[in-house]
Amino acid sequence: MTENEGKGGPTTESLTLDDIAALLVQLEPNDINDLAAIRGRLEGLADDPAVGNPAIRKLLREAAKKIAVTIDAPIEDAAPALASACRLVTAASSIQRPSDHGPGLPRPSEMSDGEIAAVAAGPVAPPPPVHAEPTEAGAERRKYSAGVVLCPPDVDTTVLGEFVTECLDYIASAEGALLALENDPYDKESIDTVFRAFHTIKGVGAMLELTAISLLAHQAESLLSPVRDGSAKFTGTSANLSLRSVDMIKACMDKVQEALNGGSPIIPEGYDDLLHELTNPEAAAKHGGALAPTEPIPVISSPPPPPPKAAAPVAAPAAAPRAAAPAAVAPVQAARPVAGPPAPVAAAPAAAPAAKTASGHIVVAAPVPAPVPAAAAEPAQPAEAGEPKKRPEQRKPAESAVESSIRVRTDRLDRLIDLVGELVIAHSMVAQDDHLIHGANHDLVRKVTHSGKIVRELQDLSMSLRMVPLKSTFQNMQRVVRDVARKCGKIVDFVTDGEDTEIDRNMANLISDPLVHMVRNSVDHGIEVPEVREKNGKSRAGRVTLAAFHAGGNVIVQLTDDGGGLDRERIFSRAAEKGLVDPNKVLSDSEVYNIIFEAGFSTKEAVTDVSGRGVGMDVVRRNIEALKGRIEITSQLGAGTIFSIYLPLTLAVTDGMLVRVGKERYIVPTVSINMSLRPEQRQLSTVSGRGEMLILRGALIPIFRLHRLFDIHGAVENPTDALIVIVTDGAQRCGLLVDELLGQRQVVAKALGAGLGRVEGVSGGAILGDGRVGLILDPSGIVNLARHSGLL
Amino acid sequence: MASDPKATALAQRKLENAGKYLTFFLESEEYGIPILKVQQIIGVTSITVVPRTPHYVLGVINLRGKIIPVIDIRRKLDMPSVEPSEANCIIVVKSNGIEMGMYVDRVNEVLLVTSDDIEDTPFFGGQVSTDYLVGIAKTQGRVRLLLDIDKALSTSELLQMAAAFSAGGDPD
Repeated sequence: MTENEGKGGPTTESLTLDDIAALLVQLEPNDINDLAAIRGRLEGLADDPAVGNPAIRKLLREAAKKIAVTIDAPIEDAAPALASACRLVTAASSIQRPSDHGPGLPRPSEMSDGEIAAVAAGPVAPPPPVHAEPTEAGAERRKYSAGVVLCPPDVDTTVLGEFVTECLDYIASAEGALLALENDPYDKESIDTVFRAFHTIKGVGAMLELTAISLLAHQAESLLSPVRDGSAKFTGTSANLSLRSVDMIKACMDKVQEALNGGSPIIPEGYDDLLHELTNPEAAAKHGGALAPTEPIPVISSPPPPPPKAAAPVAAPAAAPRAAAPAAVAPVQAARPVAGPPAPVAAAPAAAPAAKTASGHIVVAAPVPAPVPAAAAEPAQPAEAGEPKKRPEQRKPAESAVESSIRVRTDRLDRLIDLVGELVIAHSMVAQDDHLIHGANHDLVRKVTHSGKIVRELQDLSMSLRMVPLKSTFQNMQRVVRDVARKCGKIVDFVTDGEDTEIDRNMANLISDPLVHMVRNSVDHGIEVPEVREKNGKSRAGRVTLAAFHAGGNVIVQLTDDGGGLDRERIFSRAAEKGLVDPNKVLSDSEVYNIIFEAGFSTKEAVTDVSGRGVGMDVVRRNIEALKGRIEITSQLGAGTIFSIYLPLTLAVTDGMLVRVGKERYIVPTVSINMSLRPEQRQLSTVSGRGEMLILRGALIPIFRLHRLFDIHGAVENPTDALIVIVTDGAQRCGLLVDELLGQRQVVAKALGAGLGRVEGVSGGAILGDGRVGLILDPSGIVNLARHSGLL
Repeated sequence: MASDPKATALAQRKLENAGKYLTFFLESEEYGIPILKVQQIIGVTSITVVPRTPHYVLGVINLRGKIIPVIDIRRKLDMPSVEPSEANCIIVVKSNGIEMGMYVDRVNEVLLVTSDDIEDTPFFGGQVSTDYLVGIAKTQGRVRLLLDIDKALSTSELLQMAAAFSAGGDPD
């Protein structure tokens, strides 16, 4: 960053302690020139009699020494030393500023070596004696209490907006990588991804003076730093803390975004606590649920960290100031109960005492089940408890190839796609012109055909512009599975497949919510608790698979679980109880399964905060139908359930059947067409002289005359001269009487303009090949219409 | 004078409504709409009838790939319909962020209306609705009715209808 170089250069004389602290946060150990300049400045300040407080001078001298270590030392030692230097300067600067002190706290004028070492060791050191406050954590807690402004008021909104976008990308990739890390704590690539994300956010955040965000990212980065250089393992605690940091940064981004829209940016709730836990991972260990250490780490036994409250300066000096940096790492490991691939839930309480003796800390085994990372936890046989388990599924290595791309504003992209759509229509109007078709100018026909090819290719390309892989959607589900499984005390192995399958960007956004619901349901209702699974001869860990693939012009998203399956009888009796079905009716399997999509239906006896209220699945079906998709269930009792969501390739193009009624033409979505036929008189019957029915293979299907519903003149009145298009509206079928079928069309569905509001029976419009607007029918709307109009 | 709040409000309103107007004819009456609201003027293209919409909605048209509704302003103002002619055209306006077509007999001219030209709409009693007018402009010895385009094209009735319908009621 050129800006930093400018600041760190010859102008260091004007830097305040705060500036130096901020710079140290951003600098890398290999920025030797800048570090040397800062070191010079610190030494200068330490020797400067104008700096009255000897404690500050001492701190600064120590910080300068740390930087000297940084410059000389190999890179692995440099990072912690740099971090300590940063903490020392921060401490010094907070002593310097009286405003940071509580009124009751005396300003220290003298600090012992031990206290300084404690400050240098930072987050893992025991809190220094009260009079030596503030430690960094203490200072920060006061500094960032709730309600503080998150970003400076005079910030450039454009730059900030770009930062938010960029940040969210980083956050998303970090989240994915963190979840991958839970399965494979040694995955270098993932840890680098997370690290890079935090690092960039820290750097850019500091540049934009978003101190709170920058600081949080910094602490998260420091937390993972020992993992990155291999001196510590990625554990359940670090996973939890990192994920929470990710969430917190996300929350901060939301607030910043609010600020961009004119709100006042307030630091989100919980920020202080998280920052405190990041600086004191041991507290986090208590908070997040302890895990048993799986491998004793040699450093744990020495030096024994003193109990938290008895902050004994006696113990701290044991570590000489210079040794403070490596020591800083050791207690981190000690305090973080190392779990690696997590120990089985059941084993956690038993192992807790071990944690106590090993680290010298009392590690409370939380009543909640220990974090069960979704994919990794397999049923652990007691014998192998404590050993890192092999992951059941060998994950593909994360793709590292960086594709070259540029950011384009979506409105421009949409405009381009619209324009291409217009071009296609304009071209087809030329191509279908009578002069061309019946003319004798073969040369012109050839030219038009040629341009037609280019136009089609352009259309294909423009359609692909909006396509995004389902990867990020699937990654979010991983998080859902993890959280829900934890809440329900289940062990779930989550597998994704085909996450590179591409889908329209808008659709990817819209499918996310229903998927969350379904995945939750699969974990909560589908997968049984480990004990039940064992009794049924299954592995303790359930498996939920989310797969996506192309088939028959659709994208199919399939959610499979190997849980209990749907209980046909139970669903039926429950539905009959609730009056949702007629108890005497004989239903097919799929009809019974479809009941679970009815509003208010739930087989779950107890309502939990995860699911069971009977809202959800109906919303799921509605959402998916809004996407012009449909959902199918296959299930086997005791063996599992498969939900298949069929989605069109893109939202923009609807497959439709063009039908004519009188002089009007309508488009019926192909997805809802069952069949079409010309009825014979004997197939037709009426109910009380009005409602018309078609008898088809023993089933009675109501018929709606489109020309009556839509008041169209000149249409065919006699059904035997017309055609009946049988459409399915979710659960039931009905027939639409039309004059003729004009053929299949792929149309771009558009709204009828905001001015019209909602038109019952019509879901939108599309521009047909001749440039006219054709209306797209909405079968379920038509059924409603017919009911309300009393035509049924 | 200036201290009279009523007069001040009137002067203020006149000032607001001064500006350039596009005028068009409905029969022999000449109406004006603020030029800034006008997007474009197009010839009459084929209009697709949308079923179950109010009588003044003629249907929808394809405006360069966009679908916009077209309103027959005669029907909206309760004027009798006439045979279509060559001069008929559709004025595409944007009101409250919504694009709509306005079917008119013929377009006349763009006219500068100063605040001095504007007078309040006189009261005609219950027989004649002047809801859609913001005022009357007298220029070059002729009278132009200044249309409140937002009200005239208001879709609130449509939206209300949709709401009533989804609530289970029948709009007819």
